[in-house]
Amino acid sequence: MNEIIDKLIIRIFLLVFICVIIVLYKYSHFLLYPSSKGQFLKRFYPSKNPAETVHLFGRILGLGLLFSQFQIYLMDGFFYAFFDFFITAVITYTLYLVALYIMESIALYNFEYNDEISKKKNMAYALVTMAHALGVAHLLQVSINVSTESGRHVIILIIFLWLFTVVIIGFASKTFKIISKLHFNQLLVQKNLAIGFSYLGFFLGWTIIVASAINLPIGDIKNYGIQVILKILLSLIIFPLFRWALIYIFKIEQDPEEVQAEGAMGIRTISTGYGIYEGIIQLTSAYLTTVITGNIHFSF
Amino acid sequence: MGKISLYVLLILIYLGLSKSLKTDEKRFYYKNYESLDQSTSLLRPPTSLILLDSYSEGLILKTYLLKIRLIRVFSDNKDITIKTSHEFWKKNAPNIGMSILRLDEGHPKAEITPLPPGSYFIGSFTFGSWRLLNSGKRVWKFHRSYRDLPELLGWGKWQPTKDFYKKILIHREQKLPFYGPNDEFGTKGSITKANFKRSKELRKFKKENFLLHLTKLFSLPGNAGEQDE
Repeated sequence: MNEIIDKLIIRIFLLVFICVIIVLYKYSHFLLYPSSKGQFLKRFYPSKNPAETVHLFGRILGLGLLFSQFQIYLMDGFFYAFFDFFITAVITYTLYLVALYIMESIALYNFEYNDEISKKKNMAYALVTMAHALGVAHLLQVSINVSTESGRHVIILIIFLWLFTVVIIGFASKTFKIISKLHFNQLLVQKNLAIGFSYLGFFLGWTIIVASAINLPIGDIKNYGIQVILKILLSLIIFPLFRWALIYIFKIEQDPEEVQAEGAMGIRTISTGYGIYEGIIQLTSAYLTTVITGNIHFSF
Repeated sequence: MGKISLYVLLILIYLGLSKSLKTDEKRFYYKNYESLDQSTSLLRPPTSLILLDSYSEGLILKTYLLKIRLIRVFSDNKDITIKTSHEFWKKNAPNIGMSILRLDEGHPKAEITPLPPGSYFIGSFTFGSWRLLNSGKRVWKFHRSYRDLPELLGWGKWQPTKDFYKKILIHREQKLPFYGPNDEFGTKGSITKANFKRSKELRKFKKENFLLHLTKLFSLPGNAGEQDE
């Protein structure tokens, strides 16, 4: 009985520790968005600002994803287990925040968090930031998994993979202009949900492709880098074929001129349905691409 | 049109990078005997090349490979796999287990007539001598320092006789392939088959009964364990 209570106490202790890290996020929000200072010190009413709810809970979900890959081994004693977990958790948590800052500097350099979320309640902006939060968290989650499985230099490998993935996903996010027919900045200013959904699918799709590419055992760093780059290149070849196949099979009409809807003050704008279609088609194609690039095992 | 060009460019980049950055590729390409002869890093005379195996890789675009044993008298012996042209690969198809190239000290060009393994060593008193058997036959016996050679050459328990050696000399003179008086050597030779395991046999797919495979696929959790047992 004592042993069971012991284990329960340890579990609760670790639960409190994770909660402390989430509290840390709450305060580090001010570092990322200095203009929002004081906002989180007040009570939070999700129903008043749905955009803020999506933004915040995207981040919290990201934190959950991030910590879901941690393994805590108590065989070497509580201190070592706790110490390793603490160090790795703090470092990955910091990397997560820095990656978010970098992604938002790349994709949302024209927009200010306080204006879009607090004042305009821009749901499209919230969806874009949610895409970043979930995507970056998933990439870090896979990085932690790959580094831990290598069994040595775990922290260095996490930092290396983080840097590697941020560079790739940073460049990848710039391909939105090529893949999508929607104008990112213009529609985001208009608070058009279509751009939010389209970007969400696009970014998560890229995340899945990059995560699948880096999910390889690390032996030699040089060989690993080459294999990842080749896998991403292969994905770039396969991805458009699946996208084209899906469009052809379901005879999807994809001209945005014909899917315009009546917006605010009678201005013609892109319908949300078109954005959802773009997002889903990117995400599905990306998932199907990973089947071809990662799950075929040749006999020679 | 622009997107199609970009896509074709992407495919070309992928193929180019895969080819040039392929990290596990350690096999050199030798088109024919001449290119093999010029490889000073491999051939340190006196050297004899024994063809161990020939096979191809790839489902649609084939890569032709030869597995070769380098018997280098004054340095280490080595088994290597080289890539080659289809012509050279096809030409050597009947030569498995044979000595396909021999390079002697002081000779600028290698001898390339396919001969039984060890043809380079038989008759050379540096490596061994003729022993008279009770039957009256003379057989070749290596010196103690070269006692591992019969195993490396894939002879097994076979011993070359003086008559066999004479036939080698005739074929060498006439530059004609020689597979033994009863075709004991070469791909279909009995001595080769007995002493060299081909990778085709080692890599042969396990043939599975389709019905059994289907039963396993749809087996219930309780039955799976029983079947494995």
